[in-house]
Amino acid sequence: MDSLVAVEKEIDKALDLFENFYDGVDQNLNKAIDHLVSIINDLTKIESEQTFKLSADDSISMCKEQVKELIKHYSDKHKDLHANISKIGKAIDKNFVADYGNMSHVNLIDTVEKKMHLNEAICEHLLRSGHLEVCETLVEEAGLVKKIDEDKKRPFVQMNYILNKLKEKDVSPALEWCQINCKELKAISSNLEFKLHRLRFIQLIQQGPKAQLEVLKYSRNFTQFANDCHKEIQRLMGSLIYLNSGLENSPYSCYLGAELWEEIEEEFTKNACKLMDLPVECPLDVCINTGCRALPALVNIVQVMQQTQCGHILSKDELPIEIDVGQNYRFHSVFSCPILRQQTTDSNPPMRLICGHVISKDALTKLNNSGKNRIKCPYCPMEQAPGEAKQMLF
Amino acid sequence: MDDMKIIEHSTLKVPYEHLNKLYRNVHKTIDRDCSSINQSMNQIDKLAKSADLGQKSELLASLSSLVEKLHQVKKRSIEMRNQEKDLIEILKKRVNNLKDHSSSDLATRKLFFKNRLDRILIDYFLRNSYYLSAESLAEKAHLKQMTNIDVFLIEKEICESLESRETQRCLNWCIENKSKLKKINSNLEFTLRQQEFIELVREQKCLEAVHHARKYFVNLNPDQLVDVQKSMVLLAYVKCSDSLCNQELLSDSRWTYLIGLFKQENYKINQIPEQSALETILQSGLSALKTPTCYQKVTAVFNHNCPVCNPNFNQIAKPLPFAYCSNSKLIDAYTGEAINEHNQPMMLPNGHVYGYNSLVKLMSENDGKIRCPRSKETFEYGEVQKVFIL
Repeated sequence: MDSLVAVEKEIDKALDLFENFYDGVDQNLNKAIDHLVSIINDLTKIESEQTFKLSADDSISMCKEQVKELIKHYSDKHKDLHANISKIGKAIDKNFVADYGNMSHVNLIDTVEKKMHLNEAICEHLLRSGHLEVCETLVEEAGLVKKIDEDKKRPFVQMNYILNKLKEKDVSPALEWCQINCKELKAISSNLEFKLHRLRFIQLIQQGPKAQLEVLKYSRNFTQFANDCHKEIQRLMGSLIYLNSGLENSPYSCYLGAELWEEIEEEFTKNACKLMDLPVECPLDVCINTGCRALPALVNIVQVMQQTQCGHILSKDELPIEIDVGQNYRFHSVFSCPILRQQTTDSNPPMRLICGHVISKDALTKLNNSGKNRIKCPYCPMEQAPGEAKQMLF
Repeated sequence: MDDMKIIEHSTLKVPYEHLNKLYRNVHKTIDRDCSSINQSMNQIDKLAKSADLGQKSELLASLSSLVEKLHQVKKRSIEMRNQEKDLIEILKKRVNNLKDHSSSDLATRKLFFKNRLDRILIDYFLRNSYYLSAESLAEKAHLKQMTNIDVFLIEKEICESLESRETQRCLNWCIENKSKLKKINSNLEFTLRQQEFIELVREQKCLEAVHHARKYFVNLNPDQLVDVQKSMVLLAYVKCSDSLCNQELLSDSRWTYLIGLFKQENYKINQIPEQSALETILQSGLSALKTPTCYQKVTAVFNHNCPVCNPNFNQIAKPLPFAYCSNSKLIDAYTGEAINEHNQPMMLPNGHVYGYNSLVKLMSENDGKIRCPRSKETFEYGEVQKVFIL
């Protein structure tokens, strides 16, 4: 944030100085032009030889001074402005990191195949975010016609139509979709349909006393959810008391918040993706978000490692530092042996000792180095035979 | 250091370079104008010193033409003022746009990240010549001002001319940017002249080729001399065009090399990084998410949501390093919940591990018995053993 403030300061300074400079130039030019015009007028009127010579000499010498001043000011002052412009550039260089801090070592997309994979991933992202025409243009330009065909696009087209309608606070297409996919939604125990009905109910209440009958009729829709959501239904029916005076000043004012609508869009997208067997969040989004989180730490490390010359971090087997990706982005279990500090793999699986502590197989073998048939757990006094350890699967 | 400092350097530097370039051109114009005014003024001064009534009309005419000149200079100065102001305003707008990154309002931040991804995609499209997609996305997302499309459109024209074997446009560009190319020790102009030489020889216009060489192959450094020697050999073998040494110089791949070289120099001059933002960020992101499970080094449940397991990214992430994990981070294979002190790990007799919450869930679904979701065997609660992860 301060980096932007610093750059903005220089930009504002430059803007001011430019304004002043050009205002000055304008003034000088106007003055010079006026002066010259008056000289012309005066000289035209003079008929006598002597006065002509005198006044011509005088006035033109004066004018010459003024004009020379003007062009000096014009050229020199503009030159001075260069210092301010380069200050902007220096502020940008000081506060921002050029060239991604030398992170770009590995050429990630080096084959035609990899490019195609990346383009496919981008197409999927474009379809999910509703940029259908952009996706089509990309498919043509990148030559992906075979891979992204109408079948793939169709569910997204429908999903985006429903989402756009939800943005306009129209729940009917979404409700239709729920009714068509009722069985599948039940299988994933989703309460999307109830939430949509709730939003419509609140919309009707906001219409005031004239919608009274309609509101009551609509509440019949809640019967199917009576078992699962009965507490929420109780609250909703309670809000009917405020039909006349409006919900804004009632304890139910939380129902008027915009968060409910944002929440429903997310809920719908999640459920639709689950039904279509797609990941909940677009993979490209996840990667980019994680990448942006990881970049500062990695750039720092690269700067430090440059001085030690042990090769670029992206050409190694494992990253040198730990990146916290957040609980949401942990998709697989990673077990790190507390003794050897290595991740376990299929060839080196985690083993549970009798006492319940877990170490990797390699660590177990190391403990058994002495050849005796008894090993002691590194964390408690329990002893056992190496064969009694059980392989685990997370 | 936050991610904005790393990613947005070129967002601000490119319009700054445009401003610099405009400033230099404006200064040249100002100098020209000033010297022309100076000339006229000196002329008038000379006339006035030696004037008599007879030369009155001459004097008046030169005075009027000076006034005319001043009017034109004024008009030009207003134009230049607007141009310089516009460019500075563009810079300011971009800075304002970037402020949303640290906004306190969650919705503004979310929109900023969405726009940032769109900008990164537009940059990727432009670098790979998907110009229509880039323009379409810029329009839909209202991001035209924040992207550097104009730089790439100029690049497109020149690349197209190079593809049709024409060097003149590219040479004009080199002359325009002469000083900057010199600063980075660019080989582009020399390589273009060499290609022209090769083309002349290809058409068997040997005398013209020699004249061309005399004119342009001057002031060369040792590497360039070697190239010139190679090209001169072509002259000797001009009739037998299937000789091996000629293949390299006469091949079409030289044009591809020229296009690549031009793009490289274009990026350097405009302060655009060589690798696209998308690739850089993807490298970091994929590496931070990559676990041995994604590459079947560990038998586990396939997690739908993991981007690295996605077939597209799986291929791309192959050469990248794995994420480093100093402490174990476990998630339940059945529900995806975290396994920690609030959800303790329990091991079934078949070796599979689940969190305590999952076991409760499994028992409620199966009359108090636990049915392992992976191996389908059933166990009693009593057979479950506790596990301690440090």
